[in-house]
Amino acid sequence: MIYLDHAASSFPKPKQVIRAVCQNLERNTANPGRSGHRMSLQAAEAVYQVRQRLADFFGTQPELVLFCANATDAINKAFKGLLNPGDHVIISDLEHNAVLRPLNELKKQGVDVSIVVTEPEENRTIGNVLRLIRPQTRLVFCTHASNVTGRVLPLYRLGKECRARGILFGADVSQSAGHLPCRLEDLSADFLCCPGHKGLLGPQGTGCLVLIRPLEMKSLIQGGTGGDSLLETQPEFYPEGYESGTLNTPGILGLGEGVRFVQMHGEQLRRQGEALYQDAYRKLKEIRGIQLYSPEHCGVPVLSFSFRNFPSEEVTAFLDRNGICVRGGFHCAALTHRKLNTDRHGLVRASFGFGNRAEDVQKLAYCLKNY
Amino acid sequence: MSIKCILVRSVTYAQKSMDLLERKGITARISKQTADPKYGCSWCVRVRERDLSRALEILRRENIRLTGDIYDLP
Repeated sequence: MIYLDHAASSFPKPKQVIRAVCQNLERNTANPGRSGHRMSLQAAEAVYQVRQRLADFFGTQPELVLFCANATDAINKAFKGLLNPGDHVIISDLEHNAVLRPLNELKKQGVDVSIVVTEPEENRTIGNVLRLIRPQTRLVFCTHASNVTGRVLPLYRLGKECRARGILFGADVSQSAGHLPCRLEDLSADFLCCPGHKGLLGPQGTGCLVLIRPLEMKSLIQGGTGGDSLLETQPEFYPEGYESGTLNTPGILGLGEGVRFVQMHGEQLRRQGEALYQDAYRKLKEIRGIQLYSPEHCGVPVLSFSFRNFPSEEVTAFLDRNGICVRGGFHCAALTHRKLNTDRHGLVRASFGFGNRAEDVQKLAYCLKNY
Repeated sequence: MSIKCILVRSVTYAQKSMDLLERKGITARISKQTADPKYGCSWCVRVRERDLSRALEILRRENIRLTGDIYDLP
């Protein structure tokens, strides 16, 4: 089986990730940060080490790394925690439904949303954002890289413009973390939302909301925090005030090992992903009937295409019969597919990552050539 | 030797405090406390009495949220 669906979830995972998850389940499933006995303290220490690792990776303090179930969870916590009725938000036209749908919910409570048109020319995209800013604009939120085309947006420059105007700037690094530098300062972002199970190579059910400084944020979920237990209302300190309920300890420990792996091999992984992308781009471009929707030069290794006028799921089913896993359809990205005029048949998305080899691209091209 | 317990708001702050102090050469341990009913469950960083003032200085400099409460432990 050739797995080219890393943009949905990476596979395989490094052995260290699997070992960390299994060891936690075998050796210590005490609840971290709840009890005072040694097993609970050891579990809390292990979770803290991962928090520290993620803080180093994204360039912040450990208490500002909030563990979440996935990027969608992180985005919801950020939006619903930060935004109030009357606030205005600007998002890009490449956002995932994880961004669009929570904001459409918040619209019902009086939050106003503008969708900015992104363009291949960076200056034009930035100009388009600046034209939408008004006194009520509280937040600009953008994906770092499109989950459909892999196109990278100029976050650093956008973030700088927002910072100069006192507007919060947030980034969805779902497709870029593990592939591109994602330190908060690199993105000029006040916060970012990240899944653990994609480029960071961790288990599913993990993710994080990472802040550059403590922000005035309401908690989305209230409950036990392991501290201030006699308080009848939610304490608002980072991170526990925003992580009520028992943490996904095995997942978090697996994520820690995934991040460690990326820290050790990141440059090699990045070069490998880029080489596979460029090779696939060249090979697929030569096949009659294929139209590519991703940029010629790799931003992140996500390559989308249509094939003749076939519905994308027919093509993915054909590839699946040939032992190749890719994703068809609309990739939970209504805005992007409408922008690309691909909202009828969708696109086929091949995404590359850890474990892929040059032969995988050859087989993909061979199958499509012989379809 | 007397041990002092510096109360902090969460287990994460307790761990961060322990890390910071250990890096500066101060032996520190953490434990759960219910010493003050104001807070219910809370977390404490245990240091030797002779290290207390230096530990507090380090933690304040690093913006650790202290409750301001310090207890004697046997």
